[in-house]
Amino acid sequence: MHAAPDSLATRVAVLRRRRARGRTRAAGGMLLLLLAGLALTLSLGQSFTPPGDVLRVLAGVEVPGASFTVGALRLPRAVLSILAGMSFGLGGVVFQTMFRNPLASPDIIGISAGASAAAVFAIVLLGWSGTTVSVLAVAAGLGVAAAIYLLSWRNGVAGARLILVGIGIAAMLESVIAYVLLRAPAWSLQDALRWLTGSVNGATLEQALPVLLSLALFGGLLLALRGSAELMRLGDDTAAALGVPLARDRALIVLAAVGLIAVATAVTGPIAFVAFLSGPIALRITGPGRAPLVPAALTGALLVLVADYAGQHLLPGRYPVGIVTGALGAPYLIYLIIRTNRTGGRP
Amino acid sequence: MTILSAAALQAGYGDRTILRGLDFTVPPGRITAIVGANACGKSTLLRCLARLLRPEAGEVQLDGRALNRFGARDLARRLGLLPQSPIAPDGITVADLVSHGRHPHQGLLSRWSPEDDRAVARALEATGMADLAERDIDALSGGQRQRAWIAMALAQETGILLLDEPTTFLDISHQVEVLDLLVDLNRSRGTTIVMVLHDLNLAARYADHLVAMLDGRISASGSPEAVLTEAMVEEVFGLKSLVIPDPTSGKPMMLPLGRHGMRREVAE
Repeated sequence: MHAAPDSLATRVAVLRRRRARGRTRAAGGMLLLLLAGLALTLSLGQSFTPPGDVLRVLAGVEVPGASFTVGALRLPRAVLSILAGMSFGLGGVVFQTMFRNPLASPDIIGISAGASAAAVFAIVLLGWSGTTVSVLAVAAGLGVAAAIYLLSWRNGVAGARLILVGIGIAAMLESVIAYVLLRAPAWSLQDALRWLTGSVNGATLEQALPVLLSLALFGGLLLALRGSAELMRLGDDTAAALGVPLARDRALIVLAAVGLIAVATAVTGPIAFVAFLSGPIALRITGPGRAPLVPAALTGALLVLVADYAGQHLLPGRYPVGIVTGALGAPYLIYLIIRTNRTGGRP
Repeated sequence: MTILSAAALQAGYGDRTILRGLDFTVPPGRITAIVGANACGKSTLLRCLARLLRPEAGEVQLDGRALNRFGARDLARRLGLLPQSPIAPDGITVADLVSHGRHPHQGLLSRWSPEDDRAVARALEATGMADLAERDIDALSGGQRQRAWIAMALAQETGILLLDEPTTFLDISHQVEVLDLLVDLNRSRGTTIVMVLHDLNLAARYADHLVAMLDGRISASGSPEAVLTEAMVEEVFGLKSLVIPDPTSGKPMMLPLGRHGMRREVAE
């Protein structure tokens, strides 16, 4: 084999670096946008808090008035929105990448609904709280994932069958949530909305902590496995031939993605369509060619943050964040289902 | 040179056993074509050789070591496979796709290196895809797309390359283009090539070694001259034929005999 001219290797390297730079720049831009969103939500709510006061509160200085509105109300809400949004965005894009179909998102195929049903059952009927709820939600999410996998198994798992089975299971689990809420000794519309569509109302920093830990653990695991997820896009055989230990990596990826979704869901409820929308939006921004894991996490965070802000301050009346993201996601879902129908199951 | 061999191989899907006790050693440094009727077990054999399918009995060995004792990346550095219908993600460029071939050469600690860039460049050069490196896969012709996939497998720089029907869905000019490329690779890099092919005449022309399969067993193997005979075609494909020397290559060429369209003296 004659050696290829070094100039070609240089060109390959230049192309690769240019693409990497483009992705970094896109992610950087999204990060800036997220910071801008954070600054907006912290300083402007029902009343305006000057940026100086916001910074002082963040630094731990006691500022009359601002310490309450920013420190106790806006900051926990924004932090939880960002962390939950990242969890949903990352968990969603990983599923969509691995199953090569945007409809194979945990919030479409019932995994979020499973975690939500378990959480509402534990909180409302058993009186549990905190970590035990998260653990139960993760277990329920994994149980639903396993059930979908087994029910759609017929000489292998085809994407379209998995999605249909998942949509059916999601519908069943949503009725479980409604049933538990009806059986609850006392429940408010706020509670009901949280478990049916997701909400960050009444967020506290203590609530955000398990979500942060889950992001560090499961998110870190997913970033370590991003190479495998990327190669699974080429089909299972090709991925295996390129040295991906398929069974092990797929199990770890499902575990981590379900963990992210379930822990966040146990706190905020299944914020509608964030997992489903973040990946495709991130892909539009970063351009195709590579699975946008970090951009999808940033998109999810921005979606929840901005949708919650809109639900609180921009729309007539006040709506929990899940109502707003639901309104955004539904048309896209309809569009995708129509397109899938036309292409005979191919996304 | 790497030796890939299967002994007493039995394999299938679910309770359907397809390969029944098959022994096969891949001739190192040569081009081997596996031919046979549909459902004879060609692809199943290839999947076992690539460890995509776990045998029910028997085993596949690479250099005397059982295939399942290799780590995933380790095996992928020695043995490459191009599946029958690989999936290209939307909007991926040729260079990106070919870069994926370097995955087995990277560990958690060893990141992308200049050597990886050189390997990608060599693969692009060898497949004639250098000028198309920045193109989207979707924008290529069928033959170019198949060359891009082969380039990805080449960037893996394995001693053995397995290909499952690399010419299916290609029109004839692209079939010849892909097969010519595989011969170039075999001659220049010494890569051992095993491919499943549908077209008997192209198999006889391009392969050094021909393997004919029937009902999960090897029915005949050897040089194209020894394997591609009227008797073999009748046994393996259940087809009467005339085998004559290909005037362009001197290799055997099979002309099928049907019930219609024959000159009278041939039909009799």
